[in-house]
Amino acid sequence: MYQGMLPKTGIGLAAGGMTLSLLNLVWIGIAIAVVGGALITLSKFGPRIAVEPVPIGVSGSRFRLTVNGEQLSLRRGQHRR
Amino acid sequence: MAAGTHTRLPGQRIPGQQTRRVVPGEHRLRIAAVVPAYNEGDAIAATIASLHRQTRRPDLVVVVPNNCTDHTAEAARQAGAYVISYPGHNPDKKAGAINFALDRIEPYLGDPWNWAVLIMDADTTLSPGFLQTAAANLTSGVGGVGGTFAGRDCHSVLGYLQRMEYHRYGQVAKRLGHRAFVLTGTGTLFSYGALLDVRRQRREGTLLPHGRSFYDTHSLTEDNELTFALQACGYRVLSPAGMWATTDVMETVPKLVGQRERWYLGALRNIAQYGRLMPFHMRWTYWRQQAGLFLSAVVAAVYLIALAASLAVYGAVDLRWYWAVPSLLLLAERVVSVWPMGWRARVYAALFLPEQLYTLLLTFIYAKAFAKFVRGDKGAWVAT
Repeated sequence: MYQGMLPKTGIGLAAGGMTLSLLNLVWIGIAIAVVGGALITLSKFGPRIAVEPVPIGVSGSRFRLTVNGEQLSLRRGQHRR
Repeated sequence: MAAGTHTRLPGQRIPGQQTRRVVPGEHRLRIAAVVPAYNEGDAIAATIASLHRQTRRPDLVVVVPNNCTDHTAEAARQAGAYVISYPGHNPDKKAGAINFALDRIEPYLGDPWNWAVLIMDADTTLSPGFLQTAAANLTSGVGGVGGTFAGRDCHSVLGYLQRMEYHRYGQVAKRLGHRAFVLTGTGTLFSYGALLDVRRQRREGTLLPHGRSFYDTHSLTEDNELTFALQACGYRVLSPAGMWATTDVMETVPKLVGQRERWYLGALRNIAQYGRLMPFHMRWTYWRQQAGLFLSAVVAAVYLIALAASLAVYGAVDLRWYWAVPSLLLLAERVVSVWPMGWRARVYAALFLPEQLYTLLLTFIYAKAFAKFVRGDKGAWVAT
């Protein structure tokens, strides 16, 4: 009977430990999310720089570097004119 | 395939194909304004007056009273609009009224690439330069040029928080190179040729989900759906600076819940309906937007649960000074982003709590809409 209970106790302890570990990870996760959020907030004070897909043709897309939504290559072209 | 029949394969399309041909000096863009109206007898005269005040006035103003029980039609006629009343009951609400009017005026419009159609709400007024800016931006390849909505003057805190939200939306558009997320139903100038193209593509069902008319009458957010349709057909959608559409704000919580639940659920259903018909660049924008909203809801729930658990277990929340740094950064961003609106906006932003509660309310509404979406609830279109 007692032998039979040991694995169950072990499973219980393991699950409890994992839960506690998970809880610890949650706080790490929250800390990472806060730092990430702070960086996103900080980026709003400057121009929006992104690598994002821009439409090519009717349904095609290509990743391009954009500044405030405008493709960098097009911006350079406009400045040269 | 039966003898004598053939499947029409869609031809290769190029960007800007069949959009407005710009031939300087030969053609002047003509504008037809279409205003669907449901019991707007008290507001419609101001709406039409704002069209007459435009620096670039529309060539035709059509008001479409539908399901009205008030004097909307008489008020519109007296204000100088051409009135096309929807006959009998209109089951398809606003989208049905616009489709009806566009079908009725179709024989009277000439070359579609020389016509543009302004679709606007009956409780909205446009800034005087709205149409001039829109017409200047409706160039080759552009399907629609939408306004940036601004909330009307109001006394309630809830209404003012919406005005602040709309103001920030305008700043987001600026940072996106004036690309529109949604061509707003409050006021958008469409290329008429692009609208006809959308109708044709709906009927063919190759680039777009099957449909019959210009607007999708099954969508809860018909303006969002039409924005998807134009982009899926290869048109650009813009929201330039200076095009203000002043519209109503919801001054009570139940009204705000009704409006936003429809917006959130409508957007989710539209995205699901389009699926992979959306080109990748569209999925990148709209799926990520939904992922962001979902993440916000999850973070809010985790935050509230963690706060409650901390209070229940420890009886207090252990605060450290360094946790205040991100909050101060967020506070600064909130205040700076509404600075041009004046003191009232700055004070609300600086108080922090009103905006956080407002955000929490929006997150709750989103969670409610998401649950409805998962359950397959279709929701109902309600005028707000």
